[in-house]
Amino acid sequence: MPEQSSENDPRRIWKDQPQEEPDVKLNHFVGHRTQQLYASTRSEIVVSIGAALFFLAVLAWRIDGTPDRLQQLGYGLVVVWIAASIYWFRDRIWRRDQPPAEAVAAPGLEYYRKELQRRRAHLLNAWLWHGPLFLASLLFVASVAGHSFPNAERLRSVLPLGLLLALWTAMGFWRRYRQAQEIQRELDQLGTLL
Amino acid sequence: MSSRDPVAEQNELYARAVREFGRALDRLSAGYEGDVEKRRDLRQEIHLRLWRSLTAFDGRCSLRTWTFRVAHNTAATWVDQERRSRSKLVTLEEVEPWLVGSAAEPDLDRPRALAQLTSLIQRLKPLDRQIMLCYLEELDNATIADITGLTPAHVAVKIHRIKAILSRRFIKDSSHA
Repeated sequence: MPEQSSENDPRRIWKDQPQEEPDVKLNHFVGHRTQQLYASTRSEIVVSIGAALFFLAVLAWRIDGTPDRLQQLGYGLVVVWIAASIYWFRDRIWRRDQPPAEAVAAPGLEYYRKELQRRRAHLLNAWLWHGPLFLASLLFVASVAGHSFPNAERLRSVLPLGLLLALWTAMGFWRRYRQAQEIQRELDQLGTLL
Repeated sequence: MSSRDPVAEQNELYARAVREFGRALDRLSAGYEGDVEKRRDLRQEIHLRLWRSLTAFDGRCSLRTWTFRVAHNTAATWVDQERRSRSKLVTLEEVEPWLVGSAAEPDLDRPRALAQLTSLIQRLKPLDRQIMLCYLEELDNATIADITGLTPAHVAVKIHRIKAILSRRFIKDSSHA
């Protein structure tokens, strides 16, 4: 028969395992979560605007020929939209609205709630910061297709890619809407406390 | 008008849960996540969800049951999200063949025994892992049933299997002496 002593009892081995990390403190993990939300929001805006600029740069440098009026209008709109987005989200991008150091070190429930509200607003306004990328993608697809298939075939050739882009955009908005709902639930929970 | 400040009450419950089960939560995290950095994130996530959940704690179950439920559910979701990069997880029944031919080493020291035990736990599917971890935390069958939602009879069967697996792997067999 197996012989069980306290020395090799798996439950003792498990429970006596060394503690490898300090205790988790309430302030620490609320702060950690707050920083995560902040960083995600900032990186999403920067990546989206950066990608839109990339598409524009490719269009400007690699597509031969003079763009027609509609394309010129599209380019202009993207540039204006990017500028507006940068202005609108300047505090998020350059971290001007960061709380004081002591608040980051020990962010309270109120600070966490505000960050959640910012995140929710960010997700619900996805069209604002994703708009330039969507428009630049659309222009890119239309320009490449127009370049390869001029005149009558242009619309037909761009249709599958356009549909794919629309589907991808719709799914992205839906995903962000769901995330915003999740955050709203968390806010509702906190609302009962504040 | 409420007689108690709900935030203070929530924080008080959380402090009590951490004081009484904090180390168990650390061990639970170790049972679900092998990577040190990711384990830190999992710990944070468990603590955050536990703290948030305590607004809804109504005393219908013990604080221990509540804490372990929240922790296991959070960790199970974590495993599910991380599964894409993981090897296939197995049930208690499936893990037994994996142990065949690997009899307990008579001079297995504690760090190696712990490493083997952790490795075994991390191969298990979330439900079996929950039961294994609860058993190792010396929770009784009724509490494990409360935490997992299984019937006590089902828990008893699982515990019997866990004991067999652990004794085969970690407990000295005197017949070999």
